Amino acid sequence: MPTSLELGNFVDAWNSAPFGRFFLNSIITTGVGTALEMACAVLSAYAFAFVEFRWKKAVFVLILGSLMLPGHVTLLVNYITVANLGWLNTYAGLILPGMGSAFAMFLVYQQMRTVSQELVDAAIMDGAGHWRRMSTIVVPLCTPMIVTGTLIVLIGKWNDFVWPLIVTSTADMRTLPIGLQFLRSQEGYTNWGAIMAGAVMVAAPMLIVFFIGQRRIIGGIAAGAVKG
Amino acid sequence: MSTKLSDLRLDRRTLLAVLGAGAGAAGLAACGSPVAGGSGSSPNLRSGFSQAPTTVPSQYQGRTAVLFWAPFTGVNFEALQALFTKFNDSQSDIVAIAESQGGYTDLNKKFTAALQARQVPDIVCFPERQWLQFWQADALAPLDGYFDDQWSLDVYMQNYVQEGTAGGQTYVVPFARSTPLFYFNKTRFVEAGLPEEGPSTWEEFAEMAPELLKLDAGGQPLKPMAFGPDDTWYGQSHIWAWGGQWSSATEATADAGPAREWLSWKKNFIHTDGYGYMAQSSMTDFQTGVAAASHGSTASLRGATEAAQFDIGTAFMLGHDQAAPPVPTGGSGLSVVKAESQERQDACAELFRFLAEPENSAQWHLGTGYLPIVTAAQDTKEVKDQVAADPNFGTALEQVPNAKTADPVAWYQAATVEISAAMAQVYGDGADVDTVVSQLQAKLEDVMSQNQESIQKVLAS
Repeated sequence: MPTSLELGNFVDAWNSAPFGRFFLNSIITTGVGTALEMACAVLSAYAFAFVEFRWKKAVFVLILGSLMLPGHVTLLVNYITVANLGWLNTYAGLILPGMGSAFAMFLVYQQMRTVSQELVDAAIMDGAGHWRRMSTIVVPLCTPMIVTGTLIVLIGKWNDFVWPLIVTSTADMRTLPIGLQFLRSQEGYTNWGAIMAGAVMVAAPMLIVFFIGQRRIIGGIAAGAVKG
Repeated sequence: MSTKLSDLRLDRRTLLAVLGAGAGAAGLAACGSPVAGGSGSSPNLRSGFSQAPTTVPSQYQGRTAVLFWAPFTGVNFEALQALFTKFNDSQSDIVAIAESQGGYTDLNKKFTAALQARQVPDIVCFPERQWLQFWQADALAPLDGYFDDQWSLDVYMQNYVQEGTAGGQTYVVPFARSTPLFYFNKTRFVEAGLPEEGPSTWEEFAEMAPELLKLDAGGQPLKPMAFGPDDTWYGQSHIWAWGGQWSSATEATADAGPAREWLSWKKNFIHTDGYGYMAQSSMTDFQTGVAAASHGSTASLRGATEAAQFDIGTAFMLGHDQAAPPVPTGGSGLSVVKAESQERQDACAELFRFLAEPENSAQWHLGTGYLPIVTAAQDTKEVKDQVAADPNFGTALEQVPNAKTADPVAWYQAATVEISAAMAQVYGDGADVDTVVSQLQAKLEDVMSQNQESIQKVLAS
């Protein structure tokens, strides 16, 4: 049974690995990665919902199909591609392979389908092009789902373990989840106090983001559910 | 509008075509890589294999840099870095860089991917016989050419040398080596009126167990023994203690009798008598005082001593009809990766030579708890002082003569997974021993037939 509060564990954890650097790397990869992925998702969702082009259904099915592909299948192929591009152990290698996402696209697409056609038609009558229709009508109407998608993507990227482990190899490029692993000895002494303190540091930012976005997430899911 | 749309269509189509071609090319490249390669100018080299990215600290710029992907974290990685700094400051031509990659399985994954991408580290480190898969893939360089009067396999504990050789050549030099130990809570043993030196056979331990059960541990009776779900390594010592083996060099022998006898004995010990149980992490339960004894690695000794709030006792692995049974060797050794540079390979050998100096081996031993694998390290003052101060460190050293390489079938992960599962069925669920053993025998026969050829090649000299 624990008997006292031991804040020294946080200091231990912070000092036993370059946590400052891990935080910076996590913030860069998560921030830039999420922005890029959501930009891709919104643009492609808009295209599938409002732009007519040949083979649309087929392309859509192909992209949705990628949802059923487990990450481990593409791991090695992605790794070789990134290595051939000379991106091993760089931010580009960490971020870019995760840019395209069928999941976020599908989430936003479902919400975009509920935008009433009359609104869009009215904008067309006023001479608005695709870009204007998207930015002034469709995106504002779909904000709850975009926020939900952003949060899910953000948390996923923050916690990502396997890809950063494989693609980075020096301590100055590592992200937080891998840094946490460094605190734990494989064989031998494990300072559980420091590991728990490290886990709190890793989890806290996402908890804060979640609490801030919580109301919008629930609003978003409910809105989607009722309208079907 | 319509013209615009048709333009758009064309663009899409072109884009898709480009994407499709790209995906196809990537697929081809992925298929091509494993087949190609291995055609260097000398058998030690492999052209096209470059060094994985790394950063050379500014004070060492201009030296030959060798990169070690280390499967160590925490305290052990810190001890490794201290050794590497010492090496870098001891000469002015080579800089050795260690990058932690997590544990053995993480390194295995990463190294596999790195071989595909042809950007490899210079040094890797795999446990027991798990380096064989990379040897079979022609990824490791033989080290025999570097041996001379000062540095050769003769300087190491001889029980650990065999495991690094295949086909008469050396691919691994021992480094972070260990043996399993029996850990017990000396404080509680004394409290129960039991001998301070602990048991030496399972029968003895079973006689002591009722006394331990009478003690209280946080409101529950103190459990005499915690087992784990992944106990293959300890199981190897048990099956030897009962006079059996998992396999000979040519066939699986799990159903020859001793395994059945041993597992029935354990089933009785755990489920009929209630003297043991299967913990999620037996060492954690031991450290927190829930269980009075547990198996562990010698490498856990330093940490366990620091973390536990009681006197730790260690004993040899428990025997069956006699004390001090054989124990399997554990831990890992260092290998050089075949790449395009002879210069870097020579530099790696210099580093290995440095790590095999008695005082450096002693420093690693004291910092981690791994064995002082260089025989002469045991004669250094630091190691002798340590043994005098804490006899537990002496137990680990005294047990080394009993250490030997695991049975051939257990060199392969496919088999160790099955052995662990079989043991867990009996330990955890109290499953029927005859069924478990005959199922295990079938699975080990499969592993054996798949690896028969490679075992013969490894054992050939």
